[in-house]
Amino acid sequence: MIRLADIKKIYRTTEVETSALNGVSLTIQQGEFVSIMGPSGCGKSTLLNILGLIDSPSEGEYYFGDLEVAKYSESKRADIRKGNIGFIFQSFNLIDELNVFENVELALIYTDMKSKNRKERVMAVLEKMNMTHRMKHYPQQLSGGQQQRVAIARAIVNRPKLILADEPTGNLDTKNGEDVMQLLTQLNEEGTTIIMVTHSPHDAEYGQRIINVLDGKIVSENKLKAFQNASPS
Amino acid sequence: MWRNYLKVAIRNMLRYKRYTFINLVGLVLGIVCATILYLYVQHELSYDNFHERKDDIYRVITKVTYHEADQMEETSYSNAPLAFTIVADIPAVETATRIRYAGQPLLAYQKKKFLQDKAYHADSTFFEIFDYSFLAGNPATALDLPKSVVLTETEAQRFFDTPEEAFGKTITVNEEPFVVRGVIEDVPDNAHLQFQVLFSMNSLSPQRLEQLNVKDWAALNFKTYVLLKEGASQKTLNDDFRRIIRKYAQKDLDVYSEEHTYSLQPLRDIRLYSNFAFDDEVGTIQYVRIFSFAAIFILLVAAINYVNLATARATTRAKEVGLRKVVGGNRKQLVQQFVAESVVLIFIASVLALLLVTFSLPFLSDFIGKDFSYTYLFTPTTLLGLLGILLSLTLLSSFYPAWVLSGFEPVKVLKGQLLGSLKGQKLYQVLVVVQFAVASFMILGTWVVQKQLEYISKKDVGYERAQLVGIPIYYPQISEKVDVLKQQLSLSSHIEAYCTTHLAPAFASHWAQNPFRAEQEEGSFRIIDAEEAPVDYDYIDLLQIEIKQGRNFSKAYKTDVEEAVIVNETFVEKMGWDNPIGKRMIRVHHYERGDTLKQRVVGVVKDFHPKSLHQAVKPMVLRVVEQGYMLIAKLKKDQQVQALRDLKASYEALEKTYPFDIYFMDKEFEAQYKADAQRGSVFLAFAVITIFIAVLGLFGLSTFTVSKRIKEIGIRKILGASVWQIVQLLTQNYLRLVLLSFLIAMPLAYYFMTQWLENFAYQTTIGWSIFIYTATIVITVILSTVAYQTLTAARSNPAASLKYE
Repeated sequence: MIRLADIKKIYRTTEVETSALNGVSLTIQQGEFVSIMGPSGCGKSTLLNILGLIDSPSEGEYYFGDLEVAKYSESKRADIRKGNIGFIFQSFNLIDELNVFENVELALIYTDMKSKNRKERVMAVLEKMNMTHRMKHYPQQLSGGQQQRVAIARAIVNRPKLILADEPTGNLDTKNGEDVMQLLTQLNEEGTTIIMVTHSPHDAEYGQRIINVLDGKIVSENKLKAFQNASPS
Repeated sequence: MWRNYLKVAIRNMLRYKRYTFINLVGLVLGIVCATILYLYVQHELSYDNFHERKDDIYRVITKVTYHEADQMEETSYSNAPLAFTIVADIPAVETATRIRYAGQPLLAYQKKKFLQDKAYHADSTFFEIFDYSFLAGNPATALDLPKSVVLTETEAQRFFDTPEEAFGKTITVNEEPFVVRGVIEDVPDNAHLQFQVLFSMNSLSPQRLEQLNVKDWAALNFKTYVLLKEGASQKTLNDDFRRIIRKYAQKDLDVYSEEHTYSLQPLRDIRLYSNFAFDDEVGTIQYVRIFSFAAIFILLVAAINYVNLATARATTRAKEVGLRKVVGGNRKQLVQQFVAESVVLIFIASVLALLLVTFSLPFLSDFIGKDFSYTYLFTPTTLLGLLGILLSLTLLSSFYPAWVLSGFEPVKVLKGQLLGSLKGQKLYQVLVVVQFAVASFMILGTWVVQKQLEYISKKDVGYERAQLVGIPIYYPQISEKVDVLKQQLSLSSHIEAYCTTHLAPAFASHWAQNPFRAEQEEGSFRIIDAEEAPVDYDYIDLLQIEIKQGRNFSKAYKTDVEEAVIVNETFVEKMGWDNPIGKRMIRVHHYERGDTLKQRVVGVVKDFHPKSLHQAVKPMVLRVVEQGYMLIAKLKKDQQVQALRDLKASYEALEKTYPFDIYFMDKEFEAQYKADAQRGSVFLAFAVITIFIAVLGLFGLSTFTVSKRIKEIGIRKILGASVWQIVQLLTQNYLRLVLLSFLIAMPLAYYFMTQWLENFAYQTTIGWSIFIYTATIVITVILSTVAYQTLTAARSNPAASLKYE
């Protein structure tokens, strides 16, 4: 589903040049659950951003399905993102001015779905996340765990093939963190490919494969469980 | 503590260069404009305040009601006997003086001779009322004797080296000897009466006095100024005026079937509030008001920029506020600090603005049509006014942001829970609406002004002015040989046609408004007041004035000189004539003398506009004379130089004393609207500056809004929003605000501009297109202002926006 070949990412400011990724090659199959680990500043979030097409590599090749997307413009990348990729962040990234329902609906507004269908879809996913009773609440009025459930709801409402999660449990207590991981596992079992960046070895073990990143490079890879292609691509 | 404030202020300015720049540019422009406008307004308000007893000086205004003609007019002219009568009969009046414009006399001394068009006759009491410093001579006696003249310093210097040298010398005025009995300092430019030369009133010859009907209480040929005794009130004079009219004037007024009432116009009101018949002067109060508002508007817009940017940036300074509070600063001290910051900024802006004004003063004063010197800029009143401007600017701009900023609660701030940004939302929206309402208002106003000016310049005035020149020929030698002059001109192949007249449109118009006794449709008579213009046989053809009915004057009719008149359409309409041709009429004055109603209407011309379009066309009577005060010549196209040479040669062959003088009719025509055009461009400039300052503020604000919403933009993009959708999101709020401000500006502009158009007898329509164009311009400007940051934000990688977290 995804193939990276010798991906580099260099950040330039007027004073310094920082190399965040330094030749990363990686292949991810449809339906896989991959954990990415590494210390702070190792480049794992950058890798995730490039994988999610919200950032572009400085060098290298990136095949998303059959498309070579490394040199795509932002608007072309946006087209691919739409409906294909869902994001979950450590800091939830909900819009403060919108309530729970509206935050989730936002992901559908940018597709051309009719209002009625949107409403049904949002209700269904909130139901699944057990958040219907809070749908009129604003993000500030929710606990961290609840906010992350809303963020997950928003990430999956489009039924994306790929979910990228950047330390999804980082801001949560153990109990809520466990819930989130269960949800992700469930989504993976339903066929969604999941790529997750995490600090927590415990969370990483929910994946079938752990990729360790250090100083912008993949240094090792542990296969935890056998991966069976759940749904043919 | 203040040093710390100052240090932080300067560091902040340097750190946020873009905001400092935007604020500075806006403030500097605002202060420059406000200063210039302030100078203008102050100058207008200072007219005639240099006379010591300015509050006791008045001008007599005569209100004339023409009973039978059903017309009413107010004029600053009064009759000749009034001045002496009120001094004798009204105890509250200390003294009075009359003046009368002396035309364009030729002043000569030895070999030097100059025409002077700022010359008046004045009674000997003139200098008892008005204060002018005498460089030579005695104000009490300077105008006592006949054939006395008082010169200004500038005028005296044309003939003599020093004022002392001029004093007592005999110069000639139109070839008659006059003795210089006084030299005064030049008349200040803020005097409504601008003169270079004053002749004693008793220099007027008996014939001239006869012409001016000096014994007739109904003939209004002089301006009368009155000095009231200290403490006397003008209001008590109304009874006295009525008594004087009953006692002296009634008999004369009955002859013309007119009613007169007198009133006094305070000296200080003359410049600002005059709008009288037969006067060139139009009160400037409207422009004083407009420019005052413009100054306030511009300052307001600049102050709003400061408030909006400072408040918008509040969040970035929240941490500083929190820390200062934690270490013991109280709210008062923080308010002081933030006010100090704006004071520093405004101070720097003022210094820059003052430098800019100083260096560009010659250009700026030329632009607004004043002659400001540097000394004018640095008078105590001006500086005090500027201080006022700066203080109000500081008050307007600094306290609100200081209040908001100082109000942050340390615990929340340091924990990062800041909802303060939401609090400021409403206010900034209101302020942006105010800014753009002001800017739209000014654009709309400017547009209407320009449209009216264009309307005037394109309006058919009823005569052809291209290629026409006028030459005064009322001087003694040439006026007796007009026939010879005409014969000479007929020989020139460069001159297409010519005529002589007393009425040359757009310039030197020697006409009179006279009452006529005219025959009505059913045979009875009524009195109508009309402008009377003596013209020659060729006048109507040369000016291409259209004849609607009847015929032109013609030499084929021997009786035309004595009996024929041509009237304009307004005359016909006022009389209610169905068949104007053949109707009989005569000047009331001549009828009283025993003349019969010998004049007959032979033709009706289409209304034409001899004066500016500020004034409506009046009923007009043309009669034919062989002579005239002006020669009008039509030059052949592309042969102007030769034609002018021929004209000059023909003139100089006949007139040896008075120099050849020439007017180009289209230039004179434009000159009538020069003041309007100038004020129009001043207004345009200030409108452009206002919108520029507002746009600058919006630019800063949108930069800030985008940066504040960068996370939201990122999230939305990750969720699939397109560039266009993001742009829409970021601009729709501004568009809403701007549309709202336009809705506010539109009716206001419509109302005030309709009022302004009332100044013109002929008005353009305001029309919808102006509103649509202005809205389009404003929206385009707004969109292009916010477009850059918005597009940049919308196009950037979402990851970049989320990194701000």
